[in-house]
Amino acid sequence: MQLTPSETLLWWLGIGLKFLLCALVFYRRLYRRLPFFSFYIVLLVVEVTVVWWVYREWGYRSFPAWYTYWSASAVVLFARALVVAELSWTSLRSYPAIWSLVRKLLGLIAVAVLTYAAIMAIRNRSPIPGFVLTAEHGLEISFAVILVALLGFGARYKVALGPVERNIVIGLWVYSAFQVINNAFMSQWMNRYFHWWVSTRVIAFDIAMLVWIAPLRKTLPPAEPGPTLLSESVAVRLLRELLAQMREITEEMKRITRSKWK
Amino acid sequence: MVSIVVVILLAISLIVFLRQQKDIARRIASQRDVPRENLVPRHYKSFTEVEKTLWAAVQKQKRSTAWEDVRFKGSEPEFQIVRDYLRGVREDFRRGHRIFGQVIIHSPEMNLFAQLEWQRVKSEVAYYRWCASAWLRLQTGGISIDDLRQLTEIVATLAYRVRTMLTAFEKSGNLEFVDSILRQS
Repeated sequence: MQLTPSETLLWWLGIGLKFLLCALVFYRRLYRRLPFFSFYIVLLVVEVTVVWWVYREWGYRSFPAWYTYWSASAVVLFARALVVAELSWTSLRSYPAIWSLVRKLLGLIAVAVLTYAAIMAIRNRSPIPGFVLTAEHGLEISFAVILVALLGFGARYKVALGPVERNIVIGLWVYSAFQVINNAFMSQWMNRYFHWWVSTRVIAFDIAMLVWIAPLRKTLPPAEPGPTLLSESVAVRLLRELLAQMREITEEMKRITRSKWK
Repeated sequence: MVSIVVVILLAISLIVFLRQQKDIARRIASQRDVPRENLVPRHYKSFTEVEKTLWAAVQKQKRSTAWEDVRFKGSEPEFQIVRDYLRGVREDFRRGHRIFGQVIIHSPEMNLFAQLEWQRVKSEVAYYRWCASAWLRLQTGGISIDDLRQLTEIVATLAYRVRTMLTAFEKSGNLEFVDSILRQS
């Protein structure tokens, strides 16, 4: 496959942005706040370097190139899943009941998607790309839903995300949404669409990286102090008492309303 | 096609939620120096005063209709009093609703959280049902004092629940927790 000049430009732009983002992550010490996201960014740089080196050494159509590309894609996809889990954890860790539910839900989604991908891979003539592509399809739509749900939770319970976390959510969502649409078109017009599929993927990721770079241009604002926590036993006791009281009041009001109508 | 529709719906939700996130951050920043007593629902307490003022205004016009049957329409001068009261009560509801939500998400047990959230949803439904019926009445004959009383009851119940919650936490020595809830709501 020969890249057109515009595609080559896009690839180089993407590579440049990956290195810039990685440098900013370390310069702003983001790894202290979001270690998995920082690890993911480092992986992107490692991936692009390794894949480029393998292509140069063995050629684009060689077996090492083929295995390296798909293995690297699987590793990066896994790292992105960890970033989504990290964002969920940083937003919900102060709310034990909700976090325990979300943790189980995230685990369930991961198991379901990976099992489905494994089944599809066994049926496929090329198991590795089959597994990575199916897992990617499932995970991208799951990421898009989880990230919106995370913001929805914040809106419902008035929990604001920090500017860095918010931009990471936006960037990840933009890329996942583009990928979902892209994959939908790809399955319809597989061969004819291939060049577009690759370019759209690169553009979407470049947009995501620009969104991530934006808050890192300035010094990071100090992490907002989390909500003050209550001891578990006190919270359970008081909330149970309050619930019982609320029910009593509701019953009393119902009784008054009924007596009014009699 | 289904996945594209899902993405469009998610995009709309994302935009709405992001705007709300900005509002939350702005509100938290703006109420840092607000006195604590202004951070809890309080406008609904003026219902008796509002009723008295409306009564006086209606008497001045020498309307012969029974008080319970008087309807306030958007075009009438005394409707400004109703409008101001509604604005205050709406703010009370939002504030109470936020505080309630902020308290219950700290619940360590999912079952307890679900039951408290159900109580919250019930007050939310009652409030929005009132809003819908008030809008309809405003389009037709206007709202009565009984409508305002009903809304006051809904908001007063929520405010009572919130006050009970905060008092219980304060009495158990969690003053810092109450303060952080009020500042972030």
